[in-house]
Amino acid sequence: MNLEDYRTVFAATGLALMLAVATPVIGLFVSFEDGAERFSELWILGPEHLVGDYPFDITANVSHSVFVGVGNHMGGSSYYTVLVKLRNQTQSSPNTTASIPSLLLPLSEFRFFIADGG
Amino acid sequence: MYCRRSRLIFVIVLVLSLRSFGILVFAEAGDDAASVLLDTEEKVVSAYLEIVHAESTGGNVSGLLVRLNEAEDLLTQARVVYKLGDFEESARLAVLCSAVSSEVTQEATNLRLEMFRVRTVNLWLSLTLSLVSIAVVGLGCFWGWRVFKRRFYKRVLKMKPEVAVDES
Repeated sequence: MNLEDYRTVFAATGLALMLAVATPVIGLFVSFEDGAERFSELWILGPEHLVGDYPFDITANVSHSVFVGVGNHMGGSSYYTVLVKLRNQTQSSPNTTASIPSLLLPLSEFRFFIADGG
Repeated sequence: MYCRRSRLIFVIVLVLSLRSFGILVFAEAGDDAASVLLDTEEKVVSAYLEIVHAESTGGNVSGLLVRLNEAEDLLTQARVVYKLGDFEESARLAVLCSAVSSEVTQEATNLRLEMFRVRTVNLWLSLTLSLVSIAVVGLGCFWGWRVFKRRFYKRVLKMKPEVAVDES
């Protein structure tokens, strides 16, 4: 190697070192997306806390229970509202493919806040 | 006869007036409670937005979310009681919820400002350290290059010229 080649090696090494020591500051100004998918979980369990035995045959003045769980993976705290609707087979049902809810009015609603990952 | 009819009309009018007055008072109380509920809902949403801002600056908001959920529970109770017609209790619960929401908003604002201050200090510290480090690396490279160049020349000067024999 001649002197010019050595100079190039010195310059490249110096620039790489400068970039390395400037990384913490560059990181403050440039944000990198983690690429994680953002989503919310919703699960409904039957009276035994299992996926099954859902109360489909409802009668008046009899208590029936289902358990609803919500998980937040949206990358930040989120505000959720769960609307409770009761319908028979002839009433308006939700359109799951078009994401249109049932036209029935909710019997009750639950609002709550969940931290990310909760 | 005339006196009895007048008395009857007076009683009917009185009953109707009292009833209307009662309905008016009831409706007014209901309107007030509904208005308080709406205000409280806005306060809860404001508190949530402030928490989101605080979280975006890197603050730990899990404690604030727990308290805001408590406020939301109070609001839910207030809504239920309102539907049952107990406007006074509904307003009381809504005011409690409003107080908790205001506290949460204030604490979230303080957290956001604190995190902003910490971030600013960190930014300046990192910036200063990085600039000093870049300068040290630059000067080190420059000094290293000069030393290397000097040694390189010395080594080249110490080399003996190779004598080649021209056989042509």
